[in-house]
Formats: sequence, structure tokens, C-alpha cells
Amino acid sequence: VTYDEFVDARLQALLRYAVMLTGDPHTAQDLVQETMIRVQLKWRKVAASNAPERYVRRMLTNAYIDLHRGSWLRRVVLRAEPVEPPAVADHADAAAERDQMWIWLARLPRKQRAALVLRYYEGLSDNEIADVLDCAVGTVRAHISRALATLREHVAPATTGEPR
Amino acid sequence: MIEQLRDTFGRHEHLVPDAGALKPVIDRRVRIVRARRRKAWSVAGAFALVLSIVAPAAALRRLPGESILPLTTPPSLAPAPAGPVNLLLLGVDARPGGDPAQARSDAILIVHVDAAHKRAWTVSIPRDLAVEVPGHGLTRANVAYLAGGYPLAEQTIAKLTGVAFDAGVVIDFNGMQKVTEAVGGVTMCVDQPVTSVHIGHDAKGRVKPPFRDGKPVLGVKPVVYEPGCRHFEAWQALDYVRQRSTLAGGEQDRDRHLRQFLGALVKELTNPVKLTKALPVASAALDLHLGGTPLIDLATGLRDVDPDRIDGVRMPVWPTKDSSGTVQQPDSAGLFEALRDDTLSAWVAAHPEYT
Repeated sequence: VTYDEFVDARLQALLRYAVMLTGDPHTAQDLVQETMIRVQLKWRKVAASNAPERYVRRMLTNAYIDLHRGSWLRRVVLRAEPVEPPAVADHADAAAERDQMWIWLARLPRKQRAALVLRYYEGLSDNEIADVLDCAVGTVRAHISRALATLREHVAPATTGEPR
Repeated sequence: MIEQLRDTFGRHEHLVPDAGALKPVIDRRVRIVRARRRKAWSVAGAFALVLSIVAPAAALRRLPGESILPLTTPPSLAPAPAGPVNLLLLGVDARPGGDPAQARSDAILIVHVDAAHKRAWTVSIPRDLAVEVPGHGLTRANVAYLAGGYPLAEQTIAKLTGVAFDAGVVIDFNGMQKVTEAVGGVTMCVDQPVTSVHIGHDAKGRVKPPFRDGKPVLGVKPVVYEPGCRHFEAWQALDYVRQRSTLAGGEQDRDRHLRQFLGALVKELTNPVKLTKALPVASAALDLHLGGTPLIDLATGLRDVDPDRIDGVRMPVWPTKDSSGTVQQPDSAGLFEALRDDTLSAWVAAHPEYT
């Protein structure tokens, strides 16, 4: 695979992944841009690994986890939280609850969020997630169950969703 | 809960930026990073010069029993090639792990040895000199190596100067660094205070870069090389000769430091102990292009060159106003003619401003 072929095939998917990780298009774009610069500079090494896509996803995930804590991203997300509860209406309620989900995702520890995105958005198996996060499979399951517990505690189930 | 989560992800896909717009941004940034890295390696030419002259010559002159050269004839019996010798030396920026196909010649030097094989001159060709590269039109001189490797680079410089080269040597930064370490540093005379933009120390004495993106880093004191003669460790010598942006004369001063450094290294290598240490490193670091010239002939042709009589010459050029490159000054035609006719000593005497 040449670098150009890889970019043409995978860049859009990497951007989608980065948006789900960071919750913010600008941070996602910066993250992907910085990662892809490094990918291009060391392309021979990336291509030599038998799965360039996995390699790059690992780089991107690590870059996300290493983003400085308390960055402007978090502050922006906190400010975006509605100050007052939205007016009660069935449809608006559902929308607000989904936004609530997005907000609480942003508050999760980064490894937990990454594990959620990898399993429920990227559709990876626990083994593959463990490879990306460089940890044990048990740790992956712990991340996911803690993340889901946090979300259950704070996010009301969607009115249209099935009862648990 | 999980359905709700999947739905949340899906609902935010509209936020995803367009990949088509991002790709050129990435490519542009990569080009900038690569250009920055290239600047660091331009010292490489220094080593090409020293090693090509001194290693074979000294190997024959001082250590006939331990020579690295495949000697089939005792050196004293080998006929020295008649007439002057011209070598082309390229310092390239290829690095371990880097892409060899991306390498450029950042230092281009012609070594001219006179017909008596006693004196030598080194002529620096600016790497951004506008030249006619066969098959690539008018472009910067360092593009030739990138486009066609050593053969095209030689063809380009031969066409520019009218000089036929007897041999060529290519060396990269890595090899050069190892050789300086092998001889244990050099003695050099600093002619103006030089502030390093690459190496500094913080309050606790840790090594940190003193400048980032052209701005001083708070709390980091850059290394300064004050005027005067002293011993330089390998890292100091390499750092000193790569400085360009803080010098009054910019690239011209840097090229002069480089030629001074060459002379200093030649002197170190005349010490047989140091030479013995440097030879194995040097033979691994050099990429020789001998053409039809047997190495033995080349070495015998160079063995009598006096290390104290190797003089540097810079090519007469003007930088263009828009910094797009460098163009020849009319004087350079005279320099090339002197190279062809082996009358450099007269030309240098008439044009002391270029030494």
C-alpha cells in the first residue's frame, strides 16, 4: 500500500473515528492531521507492519489519550451543557437526552471512551480493542462496564428505547 | 442503553470534517518538516572531502602494512596518474530510517589537486545554485542528486564547470558523525561569536533546544562559541559548523566554517593512531563512485598532498532577491576555467576575496 492509497481509502474513516473520540470536529481534525504527518514521515515503517490501518488507529488513539488534561476541549464541552432543563415535551425530551449522552461521553475517562467507541462505533472485538489500547482483554471489559455504569447512572433512558 | 449509545454516535456523524480538504494540509506540513530536517544535515560534505583525500592517501603513506585498500602493487611502484585530479564530493541528507529516495545533496564540493599532487583546493558549490540539470531544466543544484542519484549530480556539475571528474564520494550525516567521534574531536579557531540554535542548557544543566520555531525558549541558555582557538568535542564541532541563521554572513559564513572544519579534521587524521581508529569507520561510511579510475591510482595521486596546503574557495555567486536560489557571478567562469586548466593558484591569488 502506498501512502496515497492509504489516505484515499482510510482518511475519512479516521476522521469519523476521531470525532467520536473527541466529540469535537476541530480537535478531531487537529488530531488526525498531526497523526497523519507522522504517518507520512515514517510511512515505510507503517507500511512494513502487516496492518497499516491497525498501526495508524493505535497512533491516533494514543494521541487522543495523551491530549493534555483539562484542555479547552473539556471546558467547551462543559459550557455547552444546558444550564436549565429543557422545556418538557416528548420530542424535545428525547433530543435533550441524546445530547446528554454526548455530554456524558465527553466526561468519561479517555480510555473508557475509546473502548466504547471502538466496540460500539468501530465494531471491534474485545481482543482487537485490547490491541489498540495496549492492555489486557479483562481491562477492556472493565473500561466498558465502568463507562456503561456511569452513563446509566446519569443519562435517562431514551423514551423510544427499550426498557432495560 | 447500547442502542442509545450507537444512535448518539450515528447522530453526530454530520460533525465529521471532509477528508479531501485535509489531505493537502497534511502534505504541505510534511514538506515543511522535511525541509527543516534537511537543513540540519548539510555538514555532511565536510566529511566527504576529508575522507576522500586523507584516508586513502594517509593509508598508503603512513600505514602501508595496515591499509584498507586492496593493494596489489606496492604503492611506491604504482605509477601516479599524470596531471591534476578532480573529485566530486556530495554530503547527502539521507538518514537511517529515512527514505533514501528523498535524499538530496546538501553540500557539494569539488576537490582539485594540482598536477604536482602537492596542493589541493576545495570549491563549494552552493546547494541552491540555479543550474541546468539534464532532463529537469533550470533548477536548484541539490535537486540533481534527488532526481538521479550520483550519476546525474556528477553530470550536472560537470556540465556547469566543464570539469571531468576522476571520482566521486557520497557520505551521509550518520557516517560523518561517527568519524568525528572516532578521532576524538577537532581543534578549530572561531572567528565570530556563534550562538547555537540547536543546543542549550536549562538551569539544572540538562540539554534542551534553546529555540523553538525561531523563538527563544524561556530558561534555556544556548551554547555560545566564543572567538579563539580551542578543542571541540565531536558534538560541539558538528553543532558549530551547522549554525547558519545566527551568523552575520549566513550561508557563506557557514560554508567557510565547514571548510575550516575540513582542514581541522585533516590535521587530526595525520595522527596515525587517530587515523587507525577512523579508517574502519570511514570505509563503512563512504559511498565511492570511481568510474574508470582504479582506487589505487587515486590514492597514489593524493598521497603527497600536504594537509597544511588545502585551501577552501567559495564560488562567486549572488543570492537572488526573493531567496528562490542563487545565481552565478561573472567571476565564476574564470574559476571554472582555472579548474580546467589547473591554474587555481593564480586565480586564488588574483581573487583573495573568495577564499
